[in-house]
Amino acid sequence: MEVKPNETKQISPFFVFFLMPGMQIGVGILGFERIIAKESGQDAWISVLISGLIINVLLWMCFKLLGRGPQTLDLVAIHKDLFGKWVGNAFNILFILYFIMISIILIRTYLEVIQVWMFPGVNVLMLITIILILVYRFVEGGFRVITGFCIIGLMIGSPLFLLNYFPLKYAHFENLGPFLDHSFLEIMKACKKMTLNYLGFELILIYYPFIKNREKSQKWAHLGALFTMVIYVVSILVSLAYYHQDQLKDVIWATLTLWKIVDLPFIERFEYIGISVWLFMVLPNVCLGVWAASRTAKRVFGYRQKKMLVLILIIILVSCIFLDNRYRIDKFNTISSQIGFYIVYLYLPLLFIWQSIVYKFRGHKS
Amino acid sequence: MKIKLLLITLASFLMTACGVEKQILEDILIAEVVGYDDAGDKKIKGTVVVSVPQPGEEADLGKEVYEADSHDIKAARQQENAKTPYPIVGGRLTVTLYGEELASKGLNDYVDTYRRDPMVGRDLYLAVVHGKAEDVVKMEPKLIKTPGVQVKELIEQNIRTNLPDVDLHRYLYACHGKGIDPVLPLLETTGDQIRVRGIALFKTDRYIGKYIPYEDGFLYKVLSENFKLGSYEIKWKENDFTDINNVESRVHYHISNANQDPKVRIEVKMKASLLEVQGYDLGKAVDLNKIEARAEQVIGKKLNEMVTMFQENHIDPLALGDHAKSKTRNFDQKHWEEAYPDIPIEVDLDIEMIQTGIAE
Amino acid sequence: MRFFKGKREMDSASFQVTSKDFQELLKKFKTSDDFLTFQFPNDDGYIISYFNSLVSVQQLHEQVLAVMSNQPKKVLKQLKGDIPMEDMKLTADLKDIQRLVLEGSIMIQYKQDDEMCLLIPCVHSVKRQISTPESEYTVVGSKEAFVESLDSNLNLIRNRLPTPELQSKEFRVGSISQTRIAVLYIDGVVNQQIIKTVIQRIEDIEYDTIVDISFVSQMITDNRNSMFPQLIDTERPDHLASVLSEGKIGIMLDGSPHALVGPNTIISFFSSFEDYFQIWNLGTSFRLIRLFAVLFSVLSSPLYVAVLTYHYQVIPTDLLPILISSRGVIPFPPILEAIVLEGTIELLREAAVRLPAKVGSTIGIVGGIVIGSAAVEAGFVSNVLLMLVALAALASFTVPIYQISNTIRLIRFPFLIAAQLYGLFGIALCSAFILSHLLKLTSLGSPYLDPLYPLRIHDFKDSLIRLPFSKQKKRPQFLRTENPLRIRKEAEKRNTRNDIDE
Repeated sequence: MEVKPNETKQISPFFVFFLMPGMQIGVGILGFERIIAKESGQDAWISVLISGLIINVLLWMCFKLLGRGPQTLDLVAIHKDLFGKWVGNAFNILFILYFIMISIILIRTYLEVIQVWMFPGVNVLMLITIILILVYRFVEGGFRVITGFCIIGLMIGSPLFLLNYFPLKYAHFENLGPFLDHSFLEIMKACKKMTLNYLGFELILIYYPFIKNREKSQKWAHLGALFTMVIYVVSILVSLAYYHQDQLKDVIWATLTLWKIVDLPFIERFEYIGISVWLFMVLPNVCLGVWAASRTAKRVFGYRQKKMLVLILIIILVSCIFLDNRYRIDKFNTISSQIGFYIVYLYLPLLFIWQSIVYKFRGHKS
Repeated sequence: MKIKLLLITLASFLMTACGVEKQILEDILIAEVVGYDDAGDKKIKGTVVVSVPQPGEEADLGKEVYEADSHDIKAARQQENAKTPYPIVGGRLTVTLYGEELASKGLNDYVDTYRRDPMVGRDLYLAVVHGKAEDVVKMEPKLIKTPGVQVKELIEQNIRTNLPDVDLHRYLYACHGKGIDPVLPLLETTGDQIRVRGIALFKTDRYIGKYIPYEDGFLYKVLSENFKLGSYEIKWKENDFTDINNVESRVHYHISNANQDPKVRIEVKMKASLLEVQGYDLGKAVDLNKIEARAEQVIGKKLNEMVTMFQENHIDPLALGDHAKSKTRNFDQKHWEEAYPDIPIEVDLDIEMIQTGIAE
Repeated sequence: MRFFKGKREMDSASFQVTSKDFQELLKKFKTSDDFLTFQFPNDDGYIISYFNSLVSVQQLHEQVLAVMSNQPKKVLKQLKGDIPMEDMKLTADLKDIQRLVLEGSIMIQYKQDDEMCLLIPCVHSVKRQISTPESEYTVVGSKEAFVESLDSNLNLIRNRLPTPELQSKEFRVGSISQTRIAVLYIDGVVNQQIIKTVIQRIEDIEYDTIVDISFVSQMITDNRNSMFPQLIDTERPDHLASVLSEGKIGIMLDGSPHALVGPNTIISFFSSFEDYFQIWNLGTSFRLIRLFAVLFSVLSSPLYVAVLTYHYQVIPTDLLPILISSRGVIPFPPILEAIVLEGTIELLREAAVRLPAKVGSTIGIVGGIVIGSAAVEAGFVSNVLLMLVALAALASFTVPIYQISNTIRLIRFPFLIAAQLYGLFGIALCSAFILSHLLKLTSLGSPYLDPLYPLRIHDFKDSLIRLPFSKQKKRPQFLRTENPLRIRKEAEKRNTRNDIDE
């Protein structure tokens, strides 16, 4: 059951720091503020903070799941180990579908942004095809190339976070008061809504064997997840200060709308550049998702990963054709947010507990 | 490899229809200023200034005005297009003007499109025109021909001293937020010029017909934000006037007991300089304390009057309700709104003369 | 290159010894008119034969014939002792004879049809004087450049690196040309894996004539279809010497005045050797300027096309009138305008390269000023774009390595097309495509994008920026050198309590 990729295909543990935000920060950040603030108003940032911390706990669980066995495992191996071949593979297939779903959401939502903000009449099918070819080119290069893309994508995209400076002259920081004026329940509701934005850390379950000196990677993974949290918290704080709460309720893409006020002497209306550059934040996510799906599929079905990759890309293409209006995309988003929520908050802890029980039992036997 | 080829062929097939609408710079007419007036019969009249390239002459850009009547803004744009060689686009719109009459009926319907349209920036200025908006719009092409939009520059220039900094974002902020009412610049035409008449006061999205005169704009600014420019003239002796220059002014709102029996104290601290004193013996040193006291008295009275006027009209441009909300747990919005007209509001003004220019 | 004609006629025979025996070989030699055979000192004397085009006649007279004419005829073994020349060989091996004669040795037989020959190397070589570098000219620094002779080049390097660890492995490539190729490296520094890779690839070269090092470069690079060069070719001995001590390897070919250097990262293509001649902060600034210039050169006209075709909103209000009025009269859409102008610039460049230097500079003036302003006046192109394209062309000249400047010239065309299709988003897509290529690219097995990816903070000290020499304690990590330390002695500890006036 031991999974051992070739050493030349592995990455150093430090890069996990980039893989975490690389997968967690996608299109969600462009417009998550409205949904969270609807639930907990000016205390939304607390929800973002709390769910960020919960994610770290879950991440710790993932590392326990992977590392406490006698061998290094990945999710497929864990499933087979705990549930046997058939049941285990059924779970694995569920996860494949889940990864594909994440990729679809990312691509489709990003394209929606492009449709709404830049090119209303754009031929979506063609754009998706181009993007999928791009994804193919990256995934074909293997995990190392995808990691590289994550890092460079983050390098190219992260200057956009500096744009948060511009709204400051409009900021009303008193909007953040009164502190903790919402009930615990409201804050937790917002936490739940926040889940979708933090999804992606669970991919560690798939790429864990690709890390050299795995023990050292945990520190970086947690730091990476914390980094994501900081980015989200800063974003929501700025949005809360920039918009009036009542106004924020109908701003779909709060972060994007916020870029509109960036006004440099040589360029105005920064959102057009921002959306384009955001490709480098979204595409690594898609690549990682597709890679994880194809890798799991390879491990389950035993076919060549390239074949699985093409198959998965075709599935994505077809699904995107069906997701052709805002209503369907929204519905799909909600459903996948639910599924993601249950997988992360319910399934992972259960798996963790089940593994503890099984290992204890086995330990008694031997 | 085969698959790659297949995908590439597929892509190049689709290339023929990428479906992206081109907006080549010279094939569009970029709207700069647009004005809307009530045209009766539930119709509005839209007037727009576009810049038109003048062929042959280098770096010369003409401006033309088009107008149309319609029920809503988008349709008005459509009607205007019927007269133009190229489509008019609104992505670089800098000023939107509303006629007095239209503004008093409520602006929500006519701002909504700018809120929704992703093409429109947030640095768009809104303003109300005393009279017809089209007069100001039609004046625009006749003004001095420097590159740029005259109305926008006029507003921008005055924002530094006498007008509140109101762009589309700030208007929406105030309009949508509970406990705040927006204000907009009020413009008018005088002869062959455009002039700022004052600050138009709104209840939610309706112009209430009252405004703060241009000179008092400075006082409104002192009450509503921290800023560093502007000046105000006070009468300091019989027939003698002096001009107080604002070096730095800070305002704090103290709101207590907002849910039951609210009290508001507005604390204004101003550091000022004196650059012009009339009727003074040049041989003697200026008695700063005297001028200070006089200024505090005059300006303080004005400020109090202004606040009372806001209360009488049930409007809250100073965002007192919003401040109260952010400082009170379980804020009772309804109670506040009912209590607002009768809340005792005390304006606490403190002027400190810090310099008298380069002469003693 | 020298004696190319004579060599070529004979060389098909020289690689595999096709001649069955000595007689046949001799016959083949004799068919060529520059092969001389005569008896010396008299009709009964030795039989001396050689290619007169390959042999130094002066040496032959002074050191060989002079010795022979004064002595009675001896056996060849004794004669070998008498002649004051080095590296002589007495052999009957057909292969040796063929090779050495074709390299310029004199063949001496005791009598006709004798298969045992004495071969005396007496090469006459035509060498160019060492001249100043042209493509990598620097204002300060050494003014030596490599020449065509491999031995001279090795001499230049050895003089700079007098260490026994500097090793040169020689091979011959090309089935006809049999060109000498040398792989240079410093043992104990370089990673053996790189040497192995290079040697393996050189041995795998299959081609008849290798005339220039660029042939080798194309045959041994990792990705042979990539527009991005993976090996730098340099003409500066000081450059080669310094990278050798970093742990890179050099490859030199006889007959080519350039050396290949590898492995490289993309950043090394944008760093001029002159950066090291300046103080580090100046060097760093110029490097950054150069990098900015490259970005500008690639992106300026695509951005122009994207913004003017799709995103008029991003143009600042005060710039808008200028752009509109300059575009107003142009009959073409921005993309066509840009392609026409970029194409013209490429034409001018190509013309200037092909023409001799003196005429070339005229082309620049004619093209730049006359055609440019005429095109603007005729309303063919807008003056804003003309300025952008000219600046972009200028910016692309700041690139110090010739090969990558060609890449930069061409790479903006896909960007232009992408900008036409999807505006700014198209530019992002195109960059992503290029990134996907660069991420997969390796140079002799080392990642091409280092230190960006794999992220190696230490390697930044000499990549985008150049830190002072005291900070360059370690060799670049991506080379995985056997001895990573450059500075052995720890710098003296500074007095940390160095206060004002103390």
